[in-house]
Amino acid sequence: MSTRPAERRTQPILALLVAARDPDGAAWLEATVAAPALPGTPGFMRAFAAASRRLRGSPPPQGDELPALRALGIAVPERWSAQRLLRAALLVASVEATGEEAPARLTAAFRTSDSEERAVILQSLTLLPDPARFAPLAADACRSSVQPVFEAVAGDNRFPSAFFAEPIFNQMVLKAVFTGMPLARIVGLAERTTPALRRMAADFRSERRAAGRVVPADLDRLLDAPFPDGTTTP
Amino acid sequence: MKLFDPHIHMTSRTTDDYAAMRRAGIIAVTEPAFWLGQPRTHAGSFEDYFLSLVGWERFRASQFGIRHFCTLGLNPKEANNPDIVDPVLELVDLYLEKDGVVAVGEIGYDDMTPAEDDILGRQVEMALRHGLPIMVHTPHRDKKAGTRRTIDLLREAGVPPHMVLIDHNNEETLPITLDSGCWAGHTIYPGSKMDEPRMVGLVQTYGGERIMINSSADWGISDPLKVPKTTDAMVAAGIATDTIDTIVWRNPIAFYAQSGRLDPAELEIPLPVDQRLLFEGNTVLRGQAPAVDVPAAATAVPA
Repeated sequence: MSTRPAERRTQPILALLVAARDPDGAAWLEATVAAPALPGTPGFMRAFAAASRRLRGSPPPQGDELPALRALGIAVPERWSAQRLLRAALLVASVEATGEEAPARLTAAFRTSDSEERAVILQSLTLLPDPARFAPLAADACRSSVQPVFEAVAGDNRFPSAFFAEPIFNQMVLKAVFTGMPLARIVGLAERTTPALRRMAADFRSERRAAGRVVPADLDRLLDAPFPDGTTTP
Repeated sequence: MKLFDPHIHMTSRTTDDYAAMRRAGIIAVTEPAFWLGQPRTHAGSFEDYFLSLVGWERFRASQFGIRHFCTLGLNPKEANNPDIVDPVLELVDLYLEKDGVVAVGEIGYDDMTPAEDDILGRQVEMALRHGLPIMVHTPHRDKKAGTRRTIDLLREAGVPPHMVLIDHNNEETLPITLDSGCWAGHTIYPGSKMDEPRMVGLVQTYGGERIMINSSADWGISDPLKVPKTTDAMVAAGIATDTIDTIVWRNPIAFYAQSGRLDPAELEIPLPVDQRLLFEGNTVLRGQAPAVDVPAAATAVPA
């Protein structure tokens, strides 16, 4: 993927998808982002929370909307809801209005968010301007014990393979194996599989065998898959 | 047989658990400072938590005839938030002097980040300065590498191995831990980490020297009776009573007594239950009649 943001194009597309579902919701969004509250402020947090009470019963992304959302940077828009589109539209407008303080402000917003709000933030990272600066926030989210929050960053998300340093990416992959998230949901895993990741996975497989416990099938697939250059685990 | 659970998070458990533990023979526990399932975002949250470990929880345990000790530290799961690290480590340094604090812990690695290296190193230095043993959490992911890295760091810092308990061992880390000269803890968990039959196998292979078992029971799926259940499994497997007693009683006492805050002779005397007592005006009773033992007859545990 391109690491450059879809400059100022993303929010209007999300707003169009909202409008196609609910004119009232679209009017509320337009009024709210006319003077967007900055992420983490009480005004933003109230609107971000209240957004989930709108577009109830509206359909998830479908048809021609799916490739449009993929082009914006959303890996699996099929798993998005209508409310998630609305919240992402709010978030993008708010971060675009923020400037250099965006990482600190988004981190503050994340800390006071509930699990679904956190998931929206993590799933929207690739929609934001200069996403690389949000890598510390995404890495911290990988430490969550709330599985939907962990899966929002580790699964169906282009962010980790594009922006995580190797130790963080490897820990995320092992945690996915531990928590039962299918590795197929990690975007770009094949390209990021390194000797260090294979060594960690092989150690884990050895520990499971010594303990007489089942080895997750994903671990075998990871270890037995060839490297991008065609070589395999020795 | 007298039992000591050297690693259990009683803050997350109920009074029913305390009563069942006492009935099963557990008369002493160590509660390591831990996280609460989601990371705390303010240093002040840690201060109240530390105060409860040396105060309210110690009192609550005593109301069921159980002696409660604790270990304090900033755990690796919360070591990656730069906003809280410095003030929390100042609190750790302050509260390590309290009565009932028998080690620094649980400290160690989770993701093995540079931040975790730094915080582990600073807490090891505190342990040396306070003359306290160290209770080490080994990581779930990349466990063998994490265990080796922890042992190397402690050796380089000049910590004598007899002052270190490496916890959560399995078949592949136990030989590493025993070779290092450190004590080796094993967490008996329902369906993960280690179970009773596997633990019996390890004791049959390695004996009881420097070996301990614990429940690590907390707010997750765990069982506060895993020490008595594993003891039963060892008895059923024909392991010598003396070896079992070493594992479930003498070793935890020998390790934590190195703090100078745990008196082995006092532990041999049953703790009488007196639920008429109050802690800062509070009680574990919710209108029930208090259970009261006559001293030295600690068998009457509330059912």
